[in-house]
Amino acid sequence: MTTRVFDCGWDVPRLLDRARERSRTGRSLRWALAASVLLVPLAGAADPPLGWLSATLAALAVLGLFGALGRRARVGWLLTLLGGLALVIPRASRDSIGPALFVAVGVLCVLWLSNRRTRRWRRMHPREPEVEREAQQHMGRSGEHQVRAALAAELPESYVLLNGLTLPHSAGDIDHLVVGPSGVFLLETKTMAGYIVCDADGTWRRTKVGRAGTPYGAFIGDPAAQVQRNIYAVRECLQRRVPRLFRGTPLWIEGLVVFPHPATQLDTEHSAIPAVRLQDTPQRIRAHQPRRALEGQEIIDIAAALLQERRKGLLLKRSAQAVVELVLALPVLLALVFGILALSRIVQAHSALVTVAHEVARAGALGTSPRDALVRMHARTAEVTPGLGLDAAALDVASDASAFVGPDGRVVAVARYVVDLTDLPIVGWTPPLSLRVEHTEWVDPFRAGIRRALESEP
Amino acid sequence: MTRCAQRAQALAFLAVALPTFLAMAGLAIDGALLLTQRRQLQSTVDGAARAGATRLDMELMRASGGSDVQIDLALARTTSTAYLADSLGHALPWRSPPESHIEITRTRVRVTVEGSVPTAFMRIVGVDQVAIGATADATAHYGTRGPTP
Repeated sequence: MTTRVFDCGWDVPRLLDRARERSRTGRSLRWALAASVLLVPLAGAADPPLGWLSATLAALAVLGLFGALGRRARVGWLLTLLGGLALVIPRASRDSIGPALFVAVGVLCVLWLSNRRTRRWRRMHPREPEVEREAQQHMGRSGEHQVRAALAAELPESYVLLNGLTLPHSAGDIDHLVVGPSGVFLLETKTMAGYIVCDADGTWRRTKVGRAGTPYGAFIGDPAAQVQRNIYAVRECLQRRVPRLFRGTPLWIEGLVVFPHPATQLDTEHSAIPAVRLQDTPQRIRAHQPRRALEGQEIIDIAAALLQERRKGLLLKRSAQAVVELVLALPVLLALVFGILALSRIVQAHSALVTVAHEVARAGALGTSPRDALVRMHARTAEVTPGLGLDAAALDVASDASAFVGPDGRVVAVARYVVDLTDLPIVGWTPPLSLRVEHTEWVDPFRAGIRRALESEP
Repeated sequence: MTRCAQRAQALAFLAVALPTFLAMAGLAIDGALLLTQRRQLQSTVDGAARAGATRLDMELMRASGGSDVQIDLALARTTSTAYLADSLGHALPWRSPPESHIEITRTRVRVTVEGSVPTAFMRIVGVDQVAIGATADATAHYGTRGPTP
């Protein structure tokens, strides 16, 4: 019996709970999203277009909050708070935030109801697939514990047993890793009853007899491939941490697929990795003749290296989580950055357009006749446009000198400009924004040189 | 750190970050709108002041042989008022009719317009309008001169 047993990452029940929780959260979110799609147009119609905007923002905020916190979000409390707020806020202020409050309260109601129902109803009436999946996972955990117990009991003290090890680049966690004088063994546990076959092409099948006595078959995932990938991860780790083991006769890592279920029959001659029943496993490990036998210190070094790498694997998982969070947050940040860029471009264009209209109308008002006014206006347009950073192709200046003559003579310049945002990522999908500025300039009737007599000019 | 503490931290962060984020975005958009509206108003007020300053006292000018150029107070007021009435309404989306003040001397017209324009996003946090104003001066001169000091 070996006492050198390390249980690294057996936290399956909690993982199961989390998976179940994520599934419920997703269902509630889908309901809330449907409610938002329905409520936002209705609520926003009360005060368009700001109503739609505030309602959309409110729906996004609630959905984002629930998406981030899941069932940890205090939906009931939020619902009470916002409902109370809607009652307390003065009527005069409701025009602006009314749609937002309405949508937020509505979506929270849906979330609260869907969670409430899920919690009670599902406890009473669990769905068949969930029960089956849970049973399978329970069986898997039970099998792994059986293998652990058998190995710990039957392997001598010179062996080290690592359970539930997670390494960088490993395919999930490594169920069991045995390090001893007879070598390093990587074990993948498959707890399933029935007739297990590995075909010549490497396909794994299971045939099982149902309750009515009818046999039925199903393909199962290739455990040999999983073992091979994990062997690669272990070798890569040991080559880095204990390189001396790979000099001369290199260390060889053996893989085994272990079937602990008593009602399992194996036909796995074609498997790239040997498949064995649990009762044969300790003996097979002990009796194995390795290419390179391991000494006591080497066994300790290997176990220590793997345990140290385990921390790195967990860190890698956490950094992967951070990357996922970054990927989720990045679109929002980019939208903010490019939104600010688009806004500055619009403000700059509008300011320039005001200047163009102003300058063109001023130039027209200094004309001596309607025709001269138009000539001056066109000339001024060409003069000021380049310096204002406007794209001449997108600018249209309409000059009107038809009211030039008369006691209240005036000229009008109407400048239109299409702001192009298509070159900006994320905000580029918005339709082209058209700006319009009009400026009227009255003609000075006493200015020298003005030719009122030419009123009949074309 | 316990899971409960982590939850509380995340909730507090979200509670602070979300309104801050929305308020910043709203402030940026409304600030930009305000800037463009202020620029448009200044242009309109400039035009009104200049239009008023072109209305001279003809009798005085003729009596002095063209050397005494002064503004016709009544006509200048009428002209500036007409200009504002014509342009101010469609220049900006006023929350309520703006107040205009026209001050005229014999040589100068000063036009001041003040009013409130609605905000787009800041309404969510209770700011539904912002006051803007602009002032412009125009001076009557005889002949051609450089810019007024």
